[in-house]
Amino acid sequence: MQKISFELNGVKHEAEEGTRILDYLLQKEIEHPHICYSPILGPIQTCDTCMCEIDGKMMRACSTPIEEGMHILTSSERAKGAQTEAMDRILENHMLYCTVCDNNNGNCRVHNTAEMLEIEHQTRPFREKKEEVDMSHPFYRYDPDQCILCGRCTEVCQDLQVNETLTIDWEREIPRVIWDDNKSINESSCVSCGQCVTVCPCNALMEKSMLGEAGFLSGMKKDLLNPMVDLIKEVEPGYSSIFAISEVEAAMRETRTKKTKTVCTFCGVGCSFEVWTKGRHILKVEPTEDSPVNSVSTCVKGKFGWDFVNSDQRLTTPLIRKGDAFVPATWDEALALIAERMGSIKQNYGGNALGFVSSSKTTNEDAYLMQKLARQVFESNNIDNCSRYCQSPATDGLLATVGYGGDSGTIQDIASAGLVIIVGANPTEGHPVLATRVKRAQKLYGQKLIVSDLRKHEMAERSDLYLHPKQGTDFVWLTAVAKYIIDQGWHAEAFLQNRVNDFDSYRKMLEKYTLEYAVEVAGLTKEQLIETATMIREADGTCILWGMGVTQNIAGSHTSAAISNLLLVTGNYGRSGAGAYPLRGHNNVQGACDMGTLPTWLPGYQPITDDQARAKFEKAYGVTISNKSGLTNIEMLEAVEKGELKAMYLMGEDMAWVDSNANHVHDTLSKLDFFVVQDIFLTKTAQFADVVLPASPSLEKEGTFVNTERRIQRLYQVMEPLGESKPDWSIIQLIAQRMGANWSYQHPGEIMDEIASLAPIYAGVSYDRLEGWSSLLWPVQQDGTHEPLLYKDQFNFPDGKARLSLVEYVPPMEYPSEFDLTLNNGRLLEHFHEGNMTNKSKGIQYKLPEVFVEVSPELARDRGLKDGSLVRLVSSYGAIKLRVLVTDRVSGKELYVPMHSVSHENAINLLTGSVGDVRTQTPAYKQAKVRMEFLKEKGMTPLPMYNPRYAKRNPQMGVQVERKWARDDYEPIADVNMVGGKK
Amino acid sequence: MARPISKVAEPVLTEREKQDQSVESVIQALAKNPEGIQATIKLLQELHEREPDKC
Repeated sequence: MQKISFELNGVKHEAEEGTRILDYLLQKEIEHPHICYSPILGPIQTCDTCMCEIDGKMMRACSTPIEEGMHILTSSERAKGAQTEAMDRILENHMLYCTVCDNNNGNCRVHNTAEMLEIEHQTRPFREKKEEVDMSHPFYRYDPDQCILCGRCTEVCQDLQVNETLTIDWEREIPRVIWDDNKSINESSCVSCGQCVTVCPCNALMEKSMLGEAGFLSGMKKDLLNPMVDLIKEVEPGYSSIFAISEVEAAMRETRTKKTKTVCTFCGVGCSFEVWTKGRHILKVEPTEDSPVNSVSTCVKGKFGWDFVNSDQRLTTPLIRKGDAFVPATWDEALALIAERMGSIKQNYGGNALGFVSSSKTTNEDAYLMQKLARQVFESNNIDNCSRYCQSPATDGLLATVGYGGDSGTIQDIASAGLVIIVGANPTEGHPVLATRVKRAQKLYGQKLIVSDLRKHEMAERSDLYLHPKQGTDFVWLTAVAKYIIDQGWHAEAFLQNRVNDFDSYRKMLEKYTLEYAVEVAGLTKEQLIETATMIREADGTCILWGMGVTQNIAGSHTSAAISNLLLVTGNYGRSGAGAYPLRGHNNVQGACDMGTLPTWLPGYQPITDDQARAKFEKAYGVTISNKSGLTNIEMLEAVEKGELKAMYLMGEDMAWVDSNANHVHDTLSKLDFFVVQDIFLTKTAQFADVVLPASPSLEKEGTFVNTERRIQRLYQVMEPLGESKPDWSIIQLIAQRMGANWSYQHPGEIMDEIASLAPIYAGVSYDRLEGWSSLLWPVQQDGTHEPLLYKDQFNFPDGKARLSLVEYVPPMEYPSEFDLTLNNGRLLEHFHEGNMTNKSKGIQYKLPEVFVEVSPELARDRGLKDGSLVRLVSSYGAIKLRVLVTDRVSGKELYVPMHSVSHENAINLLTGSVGDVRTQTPAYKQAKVRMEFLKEKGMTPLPMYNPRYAKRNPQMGVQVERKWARDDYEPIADVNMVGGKK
Repeated sequence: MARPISKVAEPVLTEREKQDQSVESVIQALAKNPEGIQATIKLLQELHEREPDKC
């Protein structure tokens, strides 16, 4: 970058060419007023408070790049005058009642800027906009009277979240922010991501959980408040003394409001943010631009979905089964019983009679100790985690081809790719913040998007090319595209030659995967396949994202390998803006696997068959570790049926609803001799237990999570464990100690030190290096060097070369013809997993109360169904009863049932079967077929009319400040007004 | 066979146990706030030692 020199307030400075003045001032920590600007969003140019005098002209610091020889005055009389004028216009729209305002927390931009500008009086009096406060939405409110019209909310909604709900109606008499075409917030297309509220620089948009709670005096009613504000203004001659009082109040809040960094638990994206609390009351969730993954972004669950932590259904004491009820017990009683029963089973039948199920929701430290408990204390390799139900096939496909079972790059790589292909995943609902980055790249930077899915979800709607293959046939079209690319000579020849093995055998394997074959099997057209190949060829970097639509099939591992093959053939590994991205579903799917809660792997993906690795653990643990793989979750249940597995210890997983073929799972769980469940709620699974142990959720403990990018992040304790609940690691330690093990961890940081000493990919990980917002992406070397982008120089095999997978297509299962409907299933945005946590949120339940079955318009016509009709779905495994929602998101004879149910009436897994992936046993949840029985024609629609899915978005580019400038009553402050700033 | 159960028996406490729980919570409160409690004792003691007419 070229350096340029310029003069700032009479002093010579140097900056990199292209730097904006305000960015330079911020870098150098030179105080300068600004309200609407954000480094993430770029210049919005609505507030005008950053005016400078530049070579005699009034210009904005936010949108003016520094030029060689520029003379910039930031506080000349004219600059100051312009800044004050801008602030005056803002205060016409905003009443300063800071002391009694819930946003008076030291970080209010309007307050701080007014104070920095030493505003004493305003020339334009405050005027109301004569608009009602919009309180319609369950989670936040908009007060037009306090809105300064900076448009930060609109900018994030349009161009960062890209939900395209908010705009400013610049043409009405007094402009205001509107939702869609002027709907109430609740009835609009708003998906409750909360980003508008997070970036609002004042109190116009506020979380309802803050109102009347954040301040010492802010609970006051308006009829008392307004006279008081008037009185203060009467008594106090200028604003400086009002600011002084409000600052004292803000300082008092500082001592009461606790702000703790945590990492979200609602999906694998790994958003981090501060949680503001007053005692156990959550005031708000506040993401910041420091958050490495999400910056200011969140989704509805991360921003607002935490009611479960304070739910009265939380387990607060150990429970022991006695007769037909659970009886509360002391920790001492519970631990004694567990040690006695599990100890005697181990003694009588050996470690193999015990099974351990870890969680992809708990921390790495919790998971690591769970595998240590299994392998050291009970000498069993029967340890698995719930990634078995989702992501094991993706890991398998990647381990076979490129050597690491994880995303090959970061979300920045996804954002900067020329082409993103999403296969069998619904990221706007399953990985909302990650999806926003794709939507933004597409809207602002011309990224191309291909979506392959049965369901026309939001990303499919937005895609440049939507593919709707027949269920379970992705392998075929992906492989046919790879073959076509090679046949055309479009493959990355040098890359393949230098960095990839088995190309010749792969070419041979490809022979049958012609376009014609793919057309026949997958039901796509030749043109679609050729267009896909062409788009990959033309793109500067392709990222492929996939999810359960790929993995939950009988050959999900093969399809995952086919994805990796396609990336290898086109040279889309080891460079930025490219690679393989299996979207991890839970917050710590990646970490749970990293920690070796797997029957075939020790921590850090060291094979159980590797003598050297085992020897290292044997030395550390002081026991012999068998070189034989243990049992997977699925095999454990089979072993229970055979009477070989006597007892299970399960942590943080509602296996009874999450495993497929739920009726059968329930039956099997009831056959255990002894069953311990550790959870935060008395889940269906826990109801089968002999002992239930109360665990603490993430907000009540410390630890680390690994997100889908392989990024390790720390979470800090927001509040004390509820009742007698305890962090999972500490419970596991108590059990180990009861069993006579010499464990003495005082803090999870010590557990991480042990992990680092045993798992080479974690060698350089320590709590110190993960302090605050810092994060590391594994593999992490001893010196702390990490690898955001994998495979830059070599693949993770002894010879450094990738291996093209030679596995073949396995067609989906066939069912008797009476089961004529394909039953797709998965998540919806509002709820997490089976819904145990999010169904405790009143607001979420209000927006999306129940599950339903999505039926296509053609099938509805055919069967005489309407919104609200009641039907029964029947498979060979069970039946459920649901209301119908007619929607063109699904087509033909394909149905969709969301999975957030814990009810015997309508939980999806009562219908799914037991057959699993050929390599990893992950159940083929997506290959379910059912028949439909008509029960009742008329009924209430299961999706409330105020759910955003009904509303129409209102897309535009950003805030459209030029419409403000075009108003008759707008008098320019700046001499230069140019959209997007001076180029 | 372990049938699924969702019933949690409410513990039946004797008067004595209830009293013990109350005493325990008071002891915990004392242990958590030693300085405040001691200052309060001092204050009460001073009030106690004052001449009645000077109150």
